[in-house]
Amino acid sequence: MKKIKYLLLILLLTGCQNYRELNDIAITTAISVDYSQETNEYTLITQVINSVNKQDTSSSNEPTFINFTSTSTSLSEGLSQIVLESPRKLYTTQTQIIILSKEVIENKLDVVLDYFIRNPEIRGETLILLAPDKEDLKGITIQTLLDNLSSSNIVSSLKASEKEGYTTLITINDLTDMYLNPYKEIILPTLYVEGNINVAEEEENKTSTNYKGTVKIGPLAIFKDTNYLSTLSLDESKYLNIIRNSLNSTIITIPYNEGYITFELYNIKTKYKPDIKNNKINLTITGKAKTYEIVTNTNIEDKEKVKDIQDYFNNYIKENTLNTFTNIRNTYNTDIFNFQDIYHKDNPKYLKQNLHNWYKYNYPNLELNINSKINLYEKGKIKEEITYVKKNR
Amino acid sequence: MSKKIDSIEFTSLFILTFLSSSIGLSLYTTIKYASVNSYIGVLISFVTSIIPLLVFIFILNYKQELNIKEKINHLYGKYLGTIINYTLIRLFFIIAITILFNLSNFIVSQYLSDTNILYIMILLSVTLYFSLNKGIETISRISSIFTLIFFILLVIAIFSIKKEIDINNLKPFLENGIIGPIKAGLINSLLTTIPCFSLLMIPKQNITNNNKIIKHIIIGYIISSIILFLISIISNSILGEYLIQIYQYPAYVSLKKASLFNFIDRIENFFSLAWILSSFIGIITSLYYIKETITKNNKQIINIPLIIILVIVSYKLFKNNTIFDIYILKYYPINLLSILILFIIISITIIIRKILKKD
Repeated sequence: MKKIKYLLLILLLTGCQNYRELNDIAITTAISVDYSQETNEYTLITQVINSVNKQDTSSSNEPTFINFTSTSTSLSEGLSQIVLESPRKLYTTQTQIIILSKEVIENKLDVVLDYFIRNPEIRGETLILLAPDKEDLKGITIQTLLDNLSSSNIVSSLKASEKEGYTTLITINDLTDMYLNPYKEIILPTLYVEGNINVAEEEENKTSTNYKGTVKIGPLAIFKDTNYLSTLSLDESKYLNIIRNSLNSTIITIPYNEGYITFELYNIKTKYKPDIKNNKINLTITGKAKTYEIVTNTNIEDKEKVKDIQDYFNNYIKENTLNTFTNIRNTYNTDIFNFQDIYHKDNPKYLKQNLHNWYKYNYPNLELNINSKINLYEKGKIKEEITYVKKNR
Repeated sequence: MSKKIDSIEFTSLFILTFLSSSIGLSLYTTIKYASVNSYIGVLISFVTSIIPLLVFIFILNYKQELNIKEKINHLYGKYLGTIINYTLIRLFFIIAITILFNLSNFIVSQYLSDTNILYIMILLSVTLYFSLNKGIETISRISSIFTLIFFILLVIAIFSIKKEIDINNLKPFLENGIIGPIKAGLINSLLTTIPCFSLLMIPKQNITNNNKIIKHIIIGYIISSIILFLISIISNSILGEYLIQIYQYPAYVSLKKASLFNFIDRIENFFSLAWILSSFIGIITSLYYIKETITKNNKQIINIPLIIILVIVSYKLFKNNTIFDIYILKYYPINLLSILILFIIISITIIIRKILKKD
């Protein structure tokens, strides 16, 4: 009897229930979603790893990934209909990025978020990008050299750009939070295709040292509700990240003494002190900076000069941050800085009672007090500036 | 076989049974009532749980050689005692089916989405059956090992997730007043402490070093409450006010952000093992209570039908998630409250008896 019990247990513990062989699944690494208002249909492009590639000599020249396209009135159906073309069922657990078109965000963001956040196969940590033009959605079809998969290429580039402060990583969870939170506005990193997309999709794109066509990470795109407003410049993206406390490090060049100094900022932290009753936010930026380039003919061994540079630099950061805030607010009147959310977290009752017409009265009159306290910390491997040494000794 | 267990093993049973609701039930209800201030609800429950805890300790200390079934029979006589005992069986059975469905639903919805929930229930029930056959000594030993694993996993999980914590997400503070967090706190104290009453089936005399047991239970209670508070505060601070309300298992979703040394990712399933272990102990202590009330001298004949009924009722009763979610909010707390009321009545009876004896 005992043996029979153990035999039964062995049968239960095999893990064979609903198993899927590796050869039966199409491992998906990227999905791009477009929507057409005329036809009320979604167009999906998926990037699937070619697992046959390089298994033997005959398949070694095959592309490392394959793209499947499908069109349907629902996302689930669109993705499931890919089996009509692909011999394998899509396996989306490994999806690294999802690229959305402007049309999707403006018209069907709720539907898209509901699908991706509900699906247990797709992680909430999957990165989201915006394709400003229809052509940019094909970013995942481009052959790349440094990474076999263009999705990995995009992710690596996106993460590196985030570290340099040019963009921000936005996941499905972040986007859902921005969408659901009535006190926040949406921002998204962008990607765009450069060059000839038709050639870029061919394996030949990898045979040249210069890409015929490539995919690039762009600065941040800004929205009001779900309406796309604009894509910021790289500098604006940096200062926006400073205000949103999402910048860790970046490079900033300041004009100084008829030349310029380039700094690398790191450990940047932004703290807010809202004064809701006076509609004022005090913002303190702290962190460290090291000099990368100095072309100013200045004696940087002089303590007073260094202090002067530091003050000048902090003032520069303060002015540019304030300018970025003022420009974005005056041009687009969208609170991508999350100031309303800061007020809501600080004093929700006062916000509801007194600041109920945020975009008409309160946001346009919001006062931002910036205090930059970035400490110039390192000068690199040499103590002095080469130009200064050459000219003065 | 001797039924002696160590006081540390008893405490580990207490801790895991206390935390058996932390996987979904506790956080789900506190968030429903208190939204982003659910952690305040957990803090309130730390205070309100003291009442059930005192009742538990008081009953444990009464007639130390008897288990709760015998204590009830001793207090109320055979006829009324049997009625109370069988009422308690039904109530503890409801706890067992609830935790079983919650655990199976967690597994199906989060990692085995293509698998039938019945299959998961059967798999769990086989393990439950073997543990139940082994008796309380083995269960308590398993529990002490599980507690150690639970703590290790929890420490690693907190360590790997700490950089994702944003304290600002815990605000706004009491936006909709204190009533929500108070409700959340009261229900949370029922969810966490009431399943622990099943441990009264172990007579205090059967616990070695039982002079230290009260101290150990209080320490266990404080540790479990701190763990529950940490789970709540971490989930809230990672997901924020709006995301936390849409997820079925927000604590598990927060763990998805965990990364060890910045290169070991996707470890949430490994950490969620801690919840599975605690839920497992939560079910088994309730089943042990039922089994000991029904049978005499640890007869194992009841185990198979008990497990089969458990699986069938749990599977048939909760036809879908929505029914289960409504049940958790509306009916389950009433079940737990009735257990508490019964034990309070038992405590009052003990007090009256003691007073009458003195007189």
